[in-house]
Amino acid sequence: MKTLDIWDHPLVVKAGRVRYRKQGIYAQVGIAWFLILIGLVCFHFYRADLGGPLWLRNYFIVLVGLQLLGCSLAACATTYGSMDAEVKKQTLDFQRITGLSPRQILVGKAIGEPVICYILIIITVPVISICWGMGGFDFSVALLLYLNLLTSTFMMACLGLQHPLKVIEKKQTANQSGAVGAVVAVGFVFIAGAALSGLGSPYGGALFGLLTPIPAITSIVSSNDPTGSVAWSVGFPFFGIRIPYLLLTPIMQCLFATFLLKVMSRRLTHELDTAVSKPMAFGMLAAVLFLLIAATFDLLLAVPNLTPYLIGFFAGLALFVLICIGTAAPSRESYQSWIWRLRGKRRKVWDLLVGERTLSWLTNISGWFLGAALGIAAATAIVVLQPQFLKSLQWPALLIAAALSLLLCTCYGLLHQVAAVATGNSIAAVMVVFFVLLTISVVPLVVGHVAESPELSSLSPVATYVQLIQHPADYYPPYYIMAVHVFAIMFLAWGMAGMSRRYCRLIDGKLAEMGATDHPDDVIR
Amino acid sequence: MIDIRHLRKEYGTTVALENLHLNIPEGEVFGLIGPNGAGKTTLIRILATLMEPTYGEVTIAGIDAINDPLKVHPLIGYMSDFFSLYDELLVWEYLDHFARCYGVPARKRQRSLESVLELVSLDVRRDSPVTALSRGMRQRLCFAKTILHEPKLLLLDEPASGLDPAGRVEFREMLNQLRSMGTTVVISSHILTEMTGFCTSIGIMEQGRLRVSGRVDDILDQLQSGLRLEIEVLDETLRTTNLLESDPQVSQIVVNGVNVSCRFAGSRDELPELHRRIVSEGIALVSLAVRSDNLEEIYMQISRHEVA
Repeated sequence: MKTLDIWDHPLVVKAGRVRYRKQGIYAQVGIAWFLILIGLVCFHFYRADLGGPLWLRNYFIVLVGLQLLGCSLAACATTYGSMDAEVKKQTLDFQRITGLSPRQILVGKAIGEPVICYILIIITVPVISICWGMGGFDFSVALLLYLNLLTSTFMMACLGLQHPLKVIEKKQTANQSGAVGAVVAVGFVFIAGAALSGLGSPYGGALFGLLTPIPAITSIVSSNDPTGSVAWSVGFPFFGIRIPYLLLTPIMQCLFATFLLKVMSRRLTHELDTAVSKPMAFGMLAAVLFLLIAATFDLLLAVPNLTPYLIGFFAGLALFVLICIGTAAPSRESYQSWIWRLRGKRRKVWDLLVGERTLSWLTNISGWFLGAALGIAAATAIVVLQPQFLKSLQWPALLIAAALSLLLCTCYGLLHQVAAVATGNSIAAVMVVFFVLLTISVVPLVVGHVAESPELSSLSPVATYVQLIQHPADYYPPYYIMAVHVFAIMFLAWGMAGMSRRYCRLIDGKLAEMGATDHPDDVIR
Repeated sequence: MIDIRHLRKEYGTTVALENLHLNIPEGEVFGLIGPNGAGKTTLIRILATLMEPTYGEVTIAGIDAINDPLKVHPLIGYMSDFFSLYDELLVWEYLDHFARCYGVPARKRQRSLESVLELVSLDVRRDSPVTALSRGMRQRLCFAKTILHEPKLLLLDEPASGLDPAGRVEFREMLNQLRSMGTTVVISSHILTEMTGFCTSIGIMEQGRLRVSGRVDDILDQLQSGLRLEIEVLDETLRTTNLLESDPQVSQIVVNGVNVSCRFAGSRDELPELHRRIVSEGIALVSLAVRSDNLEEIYMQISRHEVA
């Protein structure tokens, strides 16, 4: 089966048969329509208290808001619940070895399991006509909001597909765990996005705004425009040009959903592969930084001094690299399988840079340089447009910020890699990095403040960057923090090299015992 | 059909499969025999591309099953010992779902469905809900799903576990039909009677190692270093044993009541001489018969480490 025929997709057909046997779908659609009409009548009856002349617009927005929340939760919970049940019953194994590719299985689930959500969104489309005809609501805005609803539901369904593929022995049922996961996911993507996106500054939540239709909805709610056309004015600041979220969000949500499908497809194809491949991690990093630069470009053109922003960029770059490249760092089992099976199949440097399951330290460093190159390119463009910035740049502070960023990125990237291989648990590795970073950021800051010791305070990366941003011309030299991190890098590299040597020796010994003379190490010298 | 080299699978510190080499030609019915925990399920799951080995090469019909698992899928049918079905579906819906998954064309789907339902004798339960089926029927339905797309290779992991004797006989008949159609079958079991007289070749696994593998006849020839004799005497087993022990061609003497079994290294032509010696010693010989080894005996010999 090469093509993906959605209407004849086996998983969609199965979901339909399971969920809507004995006219169940008509009952659900009937109830939904009844509630929609009751809501319309109530809004009309209490229109004096519900916006007066804006009552029809408010009714429409409440309906869309409720659908967004309800469908997102339901989509995430049903897909997670379905994956969980199939993993526990081992029926997913049967699916995996059919003619369907992992992507087809996942798309089928993302469409089939929450099919009622899509249907409930589609059946309320006539409401657009009512609001357009009676209330003068902008037809295009209403239509695009519904498109946003559909893509939001699909994206959340894809988020729910992210299952560990292992049976978790808990007493809670699949649906319960699915619901908990859904609440967490919706809480993170939507609530955090709503808090940040476009409510105060158009920049703060620009990236989150790409993944939720909330900025468009809030813009309509906060205006007195009964047509809702104000939603066209809220947009992602792309190098100074506002691209309306109404148009951009569905595209970005589909792209994010595609990314989520790709991540899960990889795990369904080769269980020991990392969540994302190294080229994907580079792409992810470049995309996030590009969007960040695009969103803040016009803001930076208007700032009095570019230096603090560039210092901030380098601080953020270390974090972005750690997050993006961290997803491509192998755990112990994955790394050992590389030693067993993949070692020597590519040139060493190329393998470290983009190879599957290889250690991620070179990828981390390369990722940093890729991000720095993007940042420098953006800064150059800004300086070309605003030549006066060149004179005000504080070069020593910038160089120190960049060097420290590279050191932090290398050090904590290595720590993450060592922890992932040593503990064999990706989540534990992330927690180790998080707690070490938190400790090194907070403890020296507090102790240094109490002891009034700038030397101690300067050990904190946060304190160092804050000082560099606030006093780019008169900062405390960050020699201690740099020395500590150089030492930490050397120690971690030594530890990682020792661990690798031990694994290689052990595995080589086993290979010799097995008489496997055609080891891939012999392929490339 | 299947070529395995240096296969190894580790779970943490546990070695589930160790340096396994195996070649199964097309059309063969290969029985994987071994106690629980021997590594049979791990091997079958690796062949089904559901598990990645730690090391080694697995080729199925010339395709690298580890690096190109998606290319192998249309060729295989896999059935686990855990007959998981979609309980919410009807019998025909369950099969229709998998026919769609395997990409069976719509015009052919109905015919395939009916023919496998008939093969597994579930045609009368076509419209029953899956939940209403007995364990035996569920197992047959799962088997029907496995053969729906006419796979070239069937991987069956303990397929008859939990079935009653009648169910096992039925199941064996179904497999015999497939064998006659030239399908390669890999079937694992720790119940040897399931395999006897059905497998054309076997592999005996123990602690992750394949201790012996090959065609049943070849293994029998290899293991039967001589003839296995069953001698029945009238209460004179001690004299019989002494006589046999004095013969350098006789080994592995086991006494069981009035029966003495042993292995005779000589040829069939030399048996009359042994017979004559027993009788001339005045031992009341009731019978002397040559017995052939079966799978159970081979397995017991190997698991007792009587063969290398």
